[in-house]
Amino acid sequence: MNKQTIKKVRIGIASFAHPHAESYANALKQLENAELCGIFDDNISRGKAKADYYKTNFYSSFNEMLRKEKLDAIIITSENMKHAEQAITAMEEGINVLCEKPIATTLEDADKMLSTVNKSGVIFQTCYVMRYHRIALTVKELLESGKIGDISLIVGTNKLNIDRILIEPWFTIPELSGGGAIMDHTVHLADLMRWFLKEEAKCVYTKIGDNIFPQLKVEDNFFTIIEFDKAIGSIDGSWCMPSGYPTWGDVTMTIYGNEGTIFMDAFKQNITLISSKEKVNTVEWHYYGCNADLEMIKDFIECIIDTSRKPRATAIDGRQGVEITIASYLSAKKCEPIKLPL
Amino acid sequence: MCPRIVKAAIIGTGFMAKTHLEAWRLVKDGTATVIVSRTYEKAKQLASKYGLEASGDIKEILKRDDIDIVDICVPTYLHREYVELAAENNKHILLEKPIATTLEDADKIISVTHKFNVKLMVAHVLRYFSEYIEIRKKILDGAIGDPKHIRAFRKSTFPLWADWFKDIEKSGGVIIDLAIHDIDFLRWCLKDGIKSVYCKEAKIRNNYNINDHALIILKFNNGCVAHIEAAWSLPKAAPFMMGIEIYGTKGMINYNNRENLPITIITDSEIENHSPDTLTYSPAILPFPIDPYYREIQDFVNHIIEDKEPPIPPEEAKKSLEICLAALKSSKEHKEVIF
Repeated sequence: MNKQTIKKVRIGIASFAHPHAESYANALKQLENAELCGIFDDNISRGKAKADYYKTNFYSSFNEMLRKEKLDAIIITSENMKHAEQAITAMEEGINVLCEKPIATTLEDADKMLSTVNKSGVIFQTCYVMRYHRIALTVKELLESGKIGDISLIVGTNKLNIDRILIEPWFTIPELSGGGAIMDHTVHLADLMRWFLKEEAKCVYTKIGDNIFPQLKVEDNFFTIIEFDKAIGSIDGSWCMPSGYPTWGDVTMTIYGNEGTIFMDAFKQNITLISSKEKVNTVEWHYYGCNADLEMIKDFIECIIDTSRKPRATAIDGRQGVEITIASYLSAKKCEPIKLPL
Repeated sequence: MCPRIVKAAIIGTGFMAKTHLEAWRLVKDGTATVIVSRTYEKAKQLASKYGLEASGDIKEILKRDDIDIVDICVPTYLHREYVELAAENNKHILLEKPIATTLEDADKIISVTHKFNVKLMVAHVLRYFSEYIEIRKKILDGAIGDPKHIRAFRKSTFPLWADWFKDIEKSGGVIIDLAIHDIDFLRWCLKDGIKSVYCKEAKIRNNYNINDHALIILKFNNGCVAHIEAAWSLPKAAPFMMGIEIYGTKGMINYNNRENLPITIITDSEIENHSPDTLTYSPAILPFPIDPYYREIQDFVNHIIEDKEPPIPPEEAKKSLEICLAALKSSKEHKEVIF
């Protein structure tokens, strides 16, 4: 095939509510086999500004964008509560979907999405971006090579700087987010654990702490313990870091095997910048590691072009994350471990 | 009234006895006098190194009027027996942590010291670590507002320096022996009581029939949650690791012993990283001792001399044990234990 005949995959972005939309749009701009054809946003001023910036078309109607732009795929980065309806609408039109995590805020919605994937035959990929992170991939390879033997415990953190939440108020509005830190930050670690262990969660226990930031309407900190058949996983996905923390947050995992232990701190690849700003000294870490968002978008596009490929994280992976999340809330409410499947 | 120089009998010849003996060398107004072991040879060997007396007969030593303190460094399951002996002979007692492996033993230990009116301090040495003292001070000063979310960990290789750790009945296992440090520290910092305990244990890599890793989730009455990780499961090459992160309404505190190693020694064959407390030292080269074991023993000695109640009430040590037992119960019964 020569260059002229390569068809660019036509992609739309549904909403810039989630800050990841920015990174995904930047990734699309770097790829030769994809084209950002339109941005839908129900926040019109935000959507127009982003469409201007990325030199693409703006739509205030989701359906109109799907129809007019003859999209091959859509990236859904809207508020959590809107994922299901947008994804189902797109899939019913035969449009492939890359959906931000968590894919849904209820198990019913996640199941509906999963059955729509099966009926429509489109590609549905869940944005479990850590599956594309070089450090996590290296760790997966190490685990599969038997470096530390059989895994029986994983302790993970995916803590977040509260600044990241305060700049996107919808994260703390339950009607839009579906919940707080548990909803936002359980799935990355839960998914990495499923991916590493190759098994499903059997039991979930969660304890929520009183809010660190009492002004928020949703929980900002929690601990979860997940039981798998052969291993135990601990998750701390709290929005607990004060705004003065030198970076956005972390993804860490300590993985204990019978022949060794691996300590992973996936984003600990930073230069330190210290500056004086209006009498307040600040310390900032600037990341120089891999761009996992770009790798994920690349893979999604390649799955669309080459239909023999499967996305690294499917709708089932998305759905399983939702189930663990829902079980966490149930456990916190009932003060007892909850058995899965629900 | 105690004499100005208090004299101590060290009971035991194991790892903790050796650690305490190093610290006793630095103590002012107090001195280790005799090392006691059921096996006289062991006592003699260690005593000769420190220029002390050795004895194989605890009862004879306890009869001596010149002994004011017994420093009990025997395996946990023997604590009650030795505390009773010491108390009955009117000796003040420094008891290695944990206080005991059962509440029944802890109660007997506390009551016998009351009965014979002797002072007892359980050596929760974390309360004498500079870094943990600084952390507590900052919390109490309100530097981070109200603590709401805490992660604490303490990890090592399996304690192979003594056989009895492998036996849960004798040591209490990784929760009662190790996690108790952080449980006690958090109780000391937060003051508020604990409302619920949940725990999962794992056996990761030892060849003995004992769990070597525990995850404990505590909820305090003030709404704070804590995640405590205690491990004897690290691979053989691992250094000791401890740390704590405390997130409060106005900020956070983070400490990790592996990120605070001010001394690095590189030779042709290896790289060693040290904190001052991991290097052996002599009083001659270190005029201001900072070793937490020294501080602990000195503090106890000072309280004995001044005839004051020691700073760690035995009831506190019992309370910390109670939380550990609740964690074990949670782990066994797969449920949350509520207080």
